[in-house]
Amino acid sequence: MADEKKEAKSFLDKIVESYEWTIKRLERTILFGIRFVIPNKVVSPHGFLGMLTFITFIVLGVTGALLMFYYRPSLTGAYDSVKMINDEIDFGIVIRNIHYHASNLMIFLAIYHLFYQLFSSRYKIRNEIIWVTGVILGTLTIVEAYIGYDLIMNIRAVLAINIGAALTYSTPFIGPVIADIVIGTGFDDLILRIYTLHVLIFPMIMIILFTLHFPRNLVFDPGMVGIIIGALFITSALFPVPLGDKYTPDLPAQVTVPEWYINPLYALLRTELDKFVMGVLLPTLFIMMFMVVPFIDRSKSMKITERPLALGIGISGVLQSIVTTVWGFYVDPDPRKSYVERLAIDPYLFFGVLILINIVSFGGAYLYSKYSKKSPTPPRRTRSEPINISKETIEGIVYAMVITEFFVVGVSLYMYLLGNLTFGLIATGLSLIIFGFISYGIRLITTR
Amino acid sequence: MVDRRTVLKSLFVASGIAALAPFFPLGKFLTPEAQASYPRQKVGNINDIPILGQLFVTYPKTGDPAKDNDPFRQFLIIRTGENEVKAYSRVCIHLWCLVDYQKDKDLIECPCHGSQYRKEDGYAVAGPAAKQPNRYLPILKVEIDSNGDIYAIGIEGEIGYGR
Ligand code: FES
Repeated sequence: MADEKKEAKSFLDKIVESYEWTIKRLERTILFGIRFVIPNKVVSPHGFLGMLTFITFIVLGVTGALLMFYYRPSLTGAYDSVKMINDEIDFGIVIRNIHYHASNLMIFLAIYHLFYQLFSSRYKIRNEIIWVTGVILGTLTIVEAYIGYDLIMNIRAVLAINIGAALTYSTPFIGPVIADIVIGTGFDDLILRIYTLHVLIFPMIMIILFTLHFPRNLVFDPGMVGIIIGALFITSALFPVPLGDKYTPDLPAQVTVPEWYINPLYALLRTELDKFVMGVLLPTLFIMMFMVVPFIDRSKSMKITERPLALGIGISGVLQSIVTTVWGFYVDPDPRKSYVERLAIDPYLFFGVLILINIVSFGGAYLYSKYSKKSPTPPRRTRSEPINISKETIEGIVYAMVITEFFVVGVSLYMYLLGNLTFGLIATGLSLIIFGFISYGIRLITTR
Repeated sequence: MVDRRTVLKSLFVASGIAALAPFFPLGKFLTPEAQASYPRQKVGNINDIPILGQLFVTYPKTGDPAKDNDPFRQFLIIRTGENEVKAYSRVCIHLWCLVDYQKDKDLIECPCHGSQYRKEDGYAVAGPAAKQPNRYLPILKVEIDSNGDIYAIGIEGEIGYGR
C-alpha cells in the first residue's frame, strides 16, 4: 500500500515538475514580458475596455479566417460566394453574422475605450505613445471594417467603394497613386486587392501596433469576456445581417446609407461642398484633435473637471460624433424629389449646428471648470458596501448557475442538432453569459 | 572643422538612404495600370453603326469572361458623322452605373440617378455627375482605318472618376 502511494505521488510530482519545467522555459519568451492580471474582485469593466476590444479582434480573426475558406475575391465570385456562405454552408450564416456584429462591437468598444481614457486622463502618466497608437488603431479599425463590407459587392458595398475611390482620387499628390494601387485595372483587381488588405495587411499592421499600445500589465477578466462574447452571439442570432442586392451596373436608383461608423463622413459629403475638404481634411482634423490631447493638455491635474481643454475636446467629440452619425442616416423621404435632392444636406444648417456644438462644449467646459474650482472639492466617495448577502446564499446561487449553464449548453447542442441555428446560438451566448456570472459569484465568495 | 566621426556617420546614413532608392521603381509592381498594355485592338467597324447610333465594346479584351465583364472595360462608341466617332467609358462618374446614348435627347444618360453628358465631349451637364470635380467621361482613344475598322488604342482619364 505504501509503495502504491509513493508511486502515485511521484507520478503527480512528475506532472508538477514538467509544469514547472515548461513555465521556466516560457519565462524566456516574450509571453512573460506581459503580466496578465486577473482581478480578484468584481471590478468595473471600464478599466479593461481595451482588453475587451482586443478579445473582439480575436473573435474577428477566427470568424474571418473561417470565412476565407469559402469567400472568392473576384468580380463574379464575391457576392455569390457570400450568398453561398449565408444560404448553403452549415453554420455559414452563424459565422458571418458573428463576424459582422463583432466588427460593430469592436468599433463601438474602441470608441468607448477612447472616451473613457480621455475623461479619466489616463494619457497623463507617461502614456502618450500608448495614446497616439490607440488613436491610430481606432482609425485603422474603422477603415478595416469599411473595407470588409465592401467585399460583399452588393449595392451598398459599391456605393462605399465608389465614395472611397472618389475621396482617394481627390486627395492631392498621394491620392491618385494610392487609387492606382488599390484599383489596379478595374473591379477584378480591386476586389482582390482590398481583400488582401482586409485579411492580411491591415490586421498585420494592427498587430504590430498592438505591441506599441498594450501596457505591460494587462487586466484579463474571464467573467466579463464571457458576458461580452455571449451578448455578441445573442445579438448575432437575433439580428442577422441582410445580404443586400447584388451589384450590377444597370441597377436603378436606390437610396442606401452606409454602415453607421462611416455615417459622419457620409453626412459631410452630402453637404456637396468640396470632396477633399469634406471627406478627407475635416475627418483627419477631427482625428488629429484627439491625437494631440496629451501634448496640448499640460495641466498637472488628473481631474477632468480641472482641465477645460480636454473636457471640451471630449464633450465636443462625443456630441459631434453622435449628431453627424444620426444626420447621416436621415434621408428626406419625399418621393417626389429626385435622389440627389433627397440626399442633399444644407451646409449652412449642418455646419451651423457643428459650430454651435463646439461653442457649447468648449464654453461649457471652461465655465464648468471655473465654477467647480470655486466650490470645495467634494469628499471622496466612500467605497460602496459589498452586497449584503451571506456567503451561503451566493454559494447556492453559484451552484444553481452551474446547473443552469449545463442545461443551457445541452439545449444549445440539441438545437444545433435540430438545425435551429438561431435558438442554438442564443443558447450558446446565454451559456457564456452565465459562465461570466459564475466567475463573478466565485470571486465574491473568495474575497469575503 | 567637422570631425571624422560625424563625416563617417553622415556617410553611413546617406548610403543607407541611397540603398533604398532602387526600391521605388519596384512600386510599379503595385500599379498595373501605369504600365498596362493598352494594345491596339479592333473593336468594331464604323459601317455597322448607323449615324447617331451606338456600339458597346469591351476593351482591353482578354477572352476571360470574369475580366471582360468588368464595368471598367465597358465602352460606348457613338457614330457622329460619316467617318467620325466619339468613344467614352460607360462608367458614370457619379456612382459607377453604366451610361448609354439616348438618341431622342441627344445626350448620354445614366439610368441610375439621371446624370446627363454631352456626346460631343462627354461633359456632364445635369444630374449628380455635374457636381463632381471632374465632369468629363474618360475617353476611349480610337483610330479608324480605310476599311472603316475601329481600333481602340488607349484610354484618357481615370475610369470612374473622369478626366
Ligand atoms: S451613377 Fe450615374 S447618376 Fe448616379
